[in-house]
Amino acid sequence: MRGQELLSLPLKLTREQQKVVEWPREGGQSLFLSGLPGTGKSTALMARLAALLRVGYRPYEILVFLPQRAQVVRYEQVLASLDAPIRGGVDCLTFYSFAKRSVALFWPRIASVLGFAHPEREPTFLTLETAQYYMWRIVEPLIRAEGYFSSLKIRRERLLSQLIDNLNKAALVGFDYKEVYSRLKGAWTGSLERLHSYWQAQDCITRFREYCLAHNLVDFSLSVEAFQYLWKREDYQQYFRTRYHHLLVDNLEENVPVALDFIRWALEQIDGSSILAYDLAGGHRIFLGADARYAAEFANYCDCALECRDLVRPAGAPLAFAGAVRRALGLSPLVGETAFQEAVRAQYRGKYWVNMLDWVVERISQLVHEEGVSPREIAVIAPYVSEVLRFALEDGLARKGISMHLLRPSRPLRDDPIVRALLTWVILGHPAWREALEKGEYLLPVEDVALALQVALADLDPIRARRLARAAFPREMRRLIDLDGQESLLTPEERGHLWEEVGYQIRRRYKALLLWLEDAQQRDSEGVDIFLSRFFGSLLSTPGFGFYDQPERARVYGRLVESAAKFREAVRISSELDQDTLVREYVRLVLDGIASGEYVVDWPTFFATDAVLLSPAYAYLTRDLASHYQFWVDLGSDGWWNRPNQPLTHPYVLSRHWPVGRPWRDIEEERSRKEALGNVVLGLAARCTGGIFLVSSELGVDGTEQDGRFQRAIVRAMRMASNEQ
Amino acid sequence: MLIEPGYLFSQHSLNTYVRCQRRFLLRYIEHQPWPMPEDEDPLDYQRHLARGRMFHQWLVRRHWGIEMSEIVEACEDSLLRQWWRAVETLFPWDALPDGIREAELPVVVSLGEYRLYARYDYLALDPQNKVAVIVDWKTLASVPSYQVLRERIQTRVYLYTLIAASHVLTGGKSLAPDQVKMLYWFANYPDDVIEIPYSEAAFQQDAHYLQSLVREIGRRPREAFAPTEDSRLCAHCQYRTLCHREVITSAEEDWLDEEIDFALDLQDIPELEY
Repeated sequence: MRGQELLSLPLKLTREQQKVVEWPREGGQSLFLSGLPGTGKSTALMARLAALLRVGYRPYEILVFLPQRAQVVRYEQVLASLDAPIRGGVDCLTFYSFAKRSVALFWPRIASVLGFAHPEREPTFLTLETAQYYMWRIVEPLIRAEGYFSSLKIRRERLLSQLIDNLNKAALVGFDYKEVYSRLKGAWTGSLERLHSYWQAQDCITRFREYCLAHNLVDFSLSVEAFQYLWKREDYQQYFRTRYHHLLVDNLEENVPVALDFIRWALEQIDGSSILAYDLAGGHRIFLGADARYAAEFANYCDCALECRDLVRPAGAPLAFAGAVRRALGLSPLVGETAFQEAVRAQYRGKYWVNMLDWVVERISQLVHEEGVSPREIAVIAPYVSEVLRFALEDGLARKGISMHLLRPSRPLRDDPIVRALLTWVILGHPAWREALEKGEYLLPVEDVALALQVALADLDPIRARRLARAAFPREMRRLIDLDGQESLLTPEERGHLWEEVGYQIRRRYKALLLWLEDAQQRDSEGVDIFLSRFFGSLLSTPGFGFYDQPERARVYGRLVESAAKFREAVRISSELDQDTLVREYVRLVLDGIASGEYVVDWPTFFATDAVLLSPAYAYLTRDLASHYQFWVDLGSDGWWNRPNQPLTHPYVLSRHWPVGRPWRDIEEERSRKEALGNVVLGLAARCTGGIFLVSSELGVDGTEQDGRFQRAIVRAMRMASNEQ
Repeated sequence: MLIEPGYLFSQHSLNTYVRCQRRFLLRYIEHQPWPMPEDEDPLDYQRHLARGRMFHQWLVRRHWGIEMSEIVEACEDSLLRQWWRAVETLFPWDALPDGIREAELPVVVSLGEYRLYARYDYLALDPQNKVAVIVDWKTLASVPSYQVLRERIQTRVYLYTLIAASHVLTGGKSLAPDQVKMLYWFANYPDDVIEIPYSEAAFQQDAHYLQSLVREIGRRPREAFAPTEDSRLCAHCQYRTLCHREVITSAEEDWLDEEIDFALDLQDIPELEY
């Protein structure tokens, strides 16, 4: 499904796909379409959409609901390849986009009922970053003054994301956010300390909600709650019925309960036709609240159910292999297990992690250079992607002349050295902020200044950048100084040596940087985005500086500017803080690792790249990607088995299926992990049309022994197969 | 091929191409961020965009019958309030065709092997009498001449797409070009409405022009997307340092208008992964 592979519809449809295309177009009949991944359900929906457009249905009266924005792109590409006079204009949306759009439109009618303090003013919709920022403003004083969360060892960004996650889960599952504490407490079987933390979490999210209502801030959870109220109103029903006559839902099983409630409601409103596609091995977005069990019930809510049984993608052998692994895990195989050995193209189990990576690089090189396989047909899938893995694979493949694309959502902005360097420039350009940051125990290290110089000045290597930074950023002064001026601590002789080492061409450029900063300090504070834009435009993108003729590096720059602009826009309107403090807060936000995000600008490059994909398993599955060859690496790692450590929230307990007050025990934990791993295996196999490479090492990247449950299940599956033979 | 079949052209992208091929390449094909300010006062520029978007949002609400008086009264932006009062009281709502009315309506039609996208601020269509008017809300600081608007790519794209998609919009029957028109309404000059009629000859001419234009773009190798020769246009272009352009004076052109696209902005809002 990557690249161009599925951009156009097949010339010949399967029997089931043809039935979907021919499903009655008037009368409000609904169809529930189910099947394993690879049985052509999405293609059937796309063919249906094409058919509706070909016969002249108005595109804007068709609503296509997708669980993720990445899938929206795929539908758009199919529309692009249509042979119809009308080739677009369909509302292809995620539940959240739809909810947010509806709330923004109907705001004047619902704001006062929902308890917003200023219903007569427009709302400010928060991004994840700005929600975390406001949450931090609430949590930080409580941590400092009242010792909140002192029993937890947890990084700030993870604390904030779990608090926000609790609010979001309440909204998406559809329970009162004030019940978070009682639900978590009822399921907890450990120490009392944790109960205190749960209570503190409840207190923080309650304060956050009150703050949002008082300041017209609409975070994700409030958007969803507002939409739940909205769609029950008669005037909204009237709007929806006027607007939409056809509904298509892909990957129903990846939707959250409230989205499913809405789809169930929509089925009753639609007077044309509704078709819902359900993946039997899906529900991978459990950590985001997906409710596959509830989605399965839609077979009963629809007028008719149809199962796609024939594999369209030739994933028979990989699926059989997945079935065998599932059986070894003690789960139902769900698929036949015949001849699964064909699925495993090769295996590697060595002692050292680095050798494992070398083997992967060699095999990929063979596929590409000797067998003519396109790099985009190859995916390397790991339980999670560390910086070491990314670097080792990218470097190894580059030496073979093969590109790699990393799919790793939610990487903190600060992880990028260019971002860190630019923020250092922001700090250096605002001496007052620097002092305030230093009071908050953030001391700008000379290493950061060196990096900033290296990024800003063309042709300056790390060693010379460090040499320059030591001289230009004296410990006593903690700001950049004019090395040729009066405040310089160097003797003329030392100065001569310095410029000889660093380079005389750098001297002139360094001076230009200083002059620009001085000039910037004369202006009123405008915001990080404007500061950085001006810096880029008037200096850094000009000859001799780090971004001159560097479009790829400018992408990172652009992301930071975009993030800062969104922060300023969201926070400016509703905050009592002055502009100068706000912009300083942004720098802290990024440096603390809070700001992150997957930006729109990243998507086109991803789809256009002819590169090997490196992805964590869940990211691969939830984007519904597919590849000819998959390398499952680090099979011995516990990362395949463990779920993320989330001490303040719980994906299973905060769901509709877990009764309030029932303890969550080890037995439930064991079962849920098995099922999650079993679904991952099945999901990956269904998205592999060629062969799987099984790759592991006895020692992990940190030198510890690895013998994870996934590895053991695979070994058991292989043994069971050979015994049966 | 740099531009794949099915590529979605819009009035914005075509207009950009006509002014500067390289800007088109960087902005619409390569999605190249080049984060330098396009205006000397970027905050003012952003306020201008935000005000325009809000005005469009208010008009969409009006279309769906959502009462706006409290929001308008509480709005601290006097210019926005003034625009609203003008559109409420001075715009000839009753004179528009009746039957189908749509706000912020996207239309995508085939254009050779490519696609052409338009988003009408407001469409009023009478399927019985087969007449239609596209309304475009303009928040420009000055009113362009009739001739400028007549030749504007937006006018040609909007009228062309309306005819090409008319059988779908009416639910069966096509509209004849001489039964449709485009109406520009200026929020800062509410009495200066400019109506652009259409004709079969203009439709044929536009079809030929637009098809030739996208064919030309589609056939062009990457290196052929040259920067504009009129360096005055670079004054408000973010890519000017990437193109190594020294700007001396600015042209009286309004790049600003390129940005006010309410719908595209909504689609670009990053989402949470839920």
